[in-house]
Amino acid sequence: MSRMTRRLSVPAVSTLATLMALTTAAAQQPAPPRDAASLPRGTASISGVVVAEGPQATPIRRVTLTLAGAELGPRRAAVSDDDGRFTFTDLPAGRFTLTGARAGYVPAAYGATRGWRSQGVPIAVAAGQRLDGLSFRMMKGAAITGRVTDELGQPFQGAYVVVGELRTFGGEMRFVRAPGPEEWETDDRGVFRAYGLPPGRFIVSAQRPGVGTLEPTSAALIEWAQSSGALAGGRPSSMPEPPRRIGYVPVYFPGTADPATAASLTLAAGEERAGVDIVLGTVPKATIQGRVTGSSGDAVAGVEVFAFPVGEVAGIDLMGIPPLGHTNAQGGFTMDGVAPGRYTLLAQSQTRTTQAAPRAPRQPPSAAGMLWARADVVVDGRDVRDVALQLQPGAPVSGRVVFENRTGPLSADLRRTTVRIAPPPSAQGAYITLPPVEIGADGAFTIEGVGPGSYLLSVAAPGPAASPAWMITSVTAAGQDLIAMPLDMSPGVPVSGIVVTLTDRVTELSGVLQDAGGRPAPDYFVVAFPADRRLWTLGEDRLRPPARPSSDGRYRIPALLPGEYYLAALTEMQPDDHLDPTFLELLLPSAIRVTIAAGEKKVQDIRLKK
Amino acid sequence: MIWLLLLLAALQAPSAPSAPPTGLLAGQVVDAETGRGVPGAIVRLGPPLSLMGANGTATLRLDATTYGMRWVQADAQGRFVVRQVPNGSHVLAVTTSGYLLTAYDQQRPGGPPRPIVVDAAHAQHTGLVLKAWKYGAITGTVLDEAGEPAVGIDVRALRYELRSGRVSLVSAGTAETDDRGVYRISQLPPGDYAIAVPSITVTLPQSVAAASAEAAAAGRRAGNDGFALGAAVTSPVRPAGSDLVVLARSRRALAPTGAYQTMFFPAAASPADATRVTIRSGEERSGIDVRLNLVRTHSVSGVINGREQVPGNLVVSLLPAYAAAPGGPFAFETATTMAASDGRFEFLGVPEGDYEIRLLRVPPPVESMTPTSFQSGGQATTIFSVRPGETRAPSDPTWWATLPLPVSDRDVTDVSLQLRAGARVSGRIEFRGSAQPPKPQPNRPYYDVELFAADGRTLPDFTAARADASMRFTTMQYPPGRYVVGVQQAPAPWVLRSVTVNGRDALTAPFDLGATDIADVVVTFTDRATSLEGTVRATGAGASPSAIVVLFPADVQAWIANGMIQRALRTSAAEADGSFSMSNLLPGEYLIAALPADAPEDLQDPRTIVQLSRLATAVSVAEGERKSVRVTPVTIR
Repeated sequence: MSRMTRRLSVPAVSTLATLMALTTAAAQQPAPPRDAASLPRGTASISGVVVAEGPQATPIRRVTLTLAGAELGPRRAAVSDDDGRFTFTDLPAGRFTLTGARAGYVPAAYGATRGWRSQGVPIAVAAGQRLDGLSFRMMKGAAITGRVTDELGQPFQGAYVVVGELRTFGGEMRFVRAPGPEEWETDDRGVFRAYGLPPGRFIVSAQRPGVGTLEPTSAALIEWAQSSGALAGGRPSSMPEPPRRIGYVPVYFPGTADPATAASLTLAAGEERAGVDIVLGTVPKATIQGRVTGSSGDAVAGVEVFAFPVGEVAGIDLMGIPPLGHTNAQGGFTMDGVAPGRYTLLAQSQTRTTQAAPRAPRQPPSAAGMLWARADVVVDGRDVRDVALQLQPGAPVSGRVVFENRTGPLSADLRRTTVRIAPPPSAQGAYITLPPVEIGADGAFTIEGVGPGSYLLSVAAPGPAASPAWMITSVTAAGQDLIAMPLDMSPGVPVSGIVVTLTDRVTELSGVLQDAGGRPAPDYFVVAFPADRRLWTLGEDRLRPPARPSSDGRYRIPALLPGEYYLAALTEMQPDDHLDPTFLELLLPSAIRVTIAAGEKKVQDIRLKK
Repeated sequence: MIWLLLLLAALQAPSAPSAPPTGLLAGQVVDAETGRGVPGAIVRLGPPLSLMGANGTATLRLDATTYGMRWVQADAQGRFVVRQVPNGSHVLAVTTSGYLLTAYDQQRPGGPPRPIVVDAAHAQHTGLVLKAWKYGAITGTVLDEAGEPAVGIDVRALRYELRSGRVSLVSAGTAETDDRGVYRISQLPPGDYAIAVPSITVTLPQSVAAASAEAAAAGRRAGNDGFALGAAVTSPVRPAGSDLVVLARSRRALAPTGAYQTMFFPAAASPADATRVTIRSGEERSGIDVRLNLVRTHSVSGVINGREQVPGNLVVSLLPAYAAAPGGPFAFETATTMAASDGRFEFLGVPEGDYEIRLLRVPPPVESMTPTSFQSGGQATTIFSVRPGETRAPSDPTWWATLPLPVSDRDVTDVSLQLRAGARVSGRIEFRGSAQPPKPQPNRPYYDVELFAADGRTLPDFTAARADASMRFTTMQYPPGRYVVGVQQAPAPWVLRSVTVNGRDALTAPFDLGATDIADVVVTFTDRATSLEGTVRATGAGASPSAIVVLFPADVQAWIANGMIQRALRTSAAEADGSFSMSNLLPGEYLIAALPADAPEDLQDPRTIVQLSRLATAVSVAEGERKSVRVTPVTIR
């Protein structure tokens, strides 16, 4: 029926969080419940013209402009007329963001200069103010078009084409989808057209949905079928070995299955790039077969075994469900239809014994009974046999949390400190999340049932996140520094002796941000990042999200680890910019160098140059 | 998503490995037009037609060759072999790109498929020919009144089809225009089409919009009438000086909304003035361009009388006369709005024309949700599911209102819409026979009773009624109209014998439901099944092509006059040896005929039925009879 309809895109998580913030601002108003019949009204107005980027600045008609802001209540929209003009009337005073959208154009925010994901610059409107003559620039979208065919050159209808950018954040590559639908579908000629794209560097992939593993038909099989077809009943004899099963995997233009080696298409504003043709061939799909045993070597039935692809690029959707197997009475499992690649096989099971393992106080019991097995497997098209997975109880991770300058039993308040280990963000769900554990009266903690793998340790001390009372100064295990370094767990091998040191001399970097005229500048973003470039690959542990000054220009960045930092202020950012090393490089020329000593509360005012 | 997998895994029980099955299917996929093999075609072997066992439980098996689909790729000549096919009934279909999904032995697009049965006696089926039809396509450009491309606009293809003897416009495909205004609708079977660019204006009172925006921000759904406002209220446009907001989904906003009207190719406001676009098999028609024009629009406002009786939000729609008429296209409203709490409503953006205001508020079913907890991967998760058979018909009223409404060159005010409740149908279930009558079983959807529209239109969101312990039932309320009764099966050996309303057949002939409840419905089951079997005589020399056997009421004129209720028509594909069977027939007087399976005859066309009736053989079947008959194939014209 309606195969050609497309679904609207879901923006990348961080952008979505930004948009959600705009809509939930209304709900978070501390005001009493509003009479739903009355919307906030005022006498202010905003009007302007939507024009196209470029020297001509031609007006653009039929653009939907959306005004949002906490003071506004629900968002309001207006549509630009044939001269590109738009008006918002009856506005209360406040700070509003203005975004524009028109099919075929790159979504834009007023005042944005850093790309389509930027939130732009807010427009401040006083009560009764008439703000005229806004010039809202929008860019016509670029387009990528091409044909998807199979190995025989026949067109592929209904293939899904995905367009996005490969960006490097915090040491890992991440795939960020371009604006528009999640996938573009090829038509009956195999042709796709992705439009409304911003300028940038894109990779393009094609995938065939809806078909699993294929059994190809070989000439030998046909011959055998035609001969034994004459047999009436009875077992067919000497059936030839079937050819290897095949299937489809995403293919990146010009023709690779690895996104890291895909060709980058650089698009200028409004450019049309044709000829992006992709051949969707089949790849051999293999079988992984193995056995799951208990710690004493006995067969374990009824256990789920998952094969998680190990990828280098985050944000790429897995096409289809990860292979899954189920052990039979002999503990054997088989997974069919596994595409080439690297996988982590994970098996888990609850213990059947009712004997509870000794556990730390206030530790949820479920994790203690977990059994794990892990194996890394490389599939290159040939079957992988005899994978041995031996279930081991998860090992405990234990240690102590030490609070500087506190002796004796910890107060009830401090005992609510929790320790948690979690897989690194790029692990893509290949582990079960373990709940955080509270520390004991002496600061000791034990996390039970940790399966093999790589983890990051984190500690949450009680207190508001905005002004923490405690911060970590060091995390060590057997003399090794563990801050932002992964903790590797081998099967069944406990890790003990971790010491987490917290201090209540929490550092703070604060000050007043003023513009060239000495007035507070609350519309800016203040970014603090380490001077040591090597730390730029450690992600959100060392690269903090930007701070926004309050209306008097005051900004605060709490709990920075002692060290050397750069401090910069800018009017707009895209989500995740602070994690992008290339972005941080751009900030260096205009940044101020700041040193934070242990426990220091540093004040650094910033005055913007004209 | 990972959690969902764990839950799915937890639901499946592991099975013991067994000896590989020995069934075999081999054949070739050919292009129906050229007769040549389709290189690299992909055929799909589907599971047995229903996974529900006879006792109503679902059986999931993990054995890869029996659970779910299997795909086999043919060689460069389109030949394929499917090995290790287990015993059972299978559907073999072509799912290769570029061709319509067709199943084995469909001799024409949309014809009846023939399941392939693999058992000890027939383990190998060779020489299977799978015919595949290519798509047709319609493409063109949509420009707005300034000559600029209309980007991201829905274009719909409607196919002219005969349904129950009447010409209907049926949705056949949709496409979106790209940044050049170009659309392409493909996957179109041969036939006649109308191309439409729909335009709808959705208006909300401000109070409702504000409440929805708040609810959306809090993550809840506003209203309980299925109109998911939370997502829709993203960019509302407020016409100056009015108390309304007009919803503009940001990708669709074209104009000051409400300045366009639905347009049919080439430039018609209704299908009656539209140009039909004819597609033959695999044909592409290009240049099917549509130019949008601005029109003057007006508002239609009024009040709903009786609004206070209905909790929650009330959706009111304005349909153009051609969409409101029987056989009209679905989802072609010109405007929709919601009534405010005092019953006032207003439609904006209504061009001149003839319309019908419609309101239908169907109460949701009463569902008892069963929480089921799963322990998997060390975490307990609870999912709420509705087991089959635990959905009850609601006792709340079904509210409806309709009003024809012409709109000329000015706003229409003071429309008065009277809210009315529907009517129920109630009665009892009887079992006639020597077997022990079954007890009602609460968890099984046995003998659920519901009404179907006599003209074959789908009724949205109505819930079937369940018989109580004394085998009595009462349906939910339905709006007035012509209906037939539908009854779910009973456990074996009981089969449906008749349904009467006030003593008259209501299974194969429609009855009128007005404003008053009907209480005299009798549903009768019998344990004496009636069936028909026989052979299609071979005609002349050579192998006979496969045949379709058609059975329809002997009183053809009455059946056609009553709207060709589909339950009275039975078709069955004959086997290669000409044998066929039809089980669970209603006793009565019939006509039976056999047609070549690749005949293009449209059994929905009354003229075909009348012609067939002159060539067909009369046969009458009594209750409990197992009749045998020989049929000679006929050709029409």
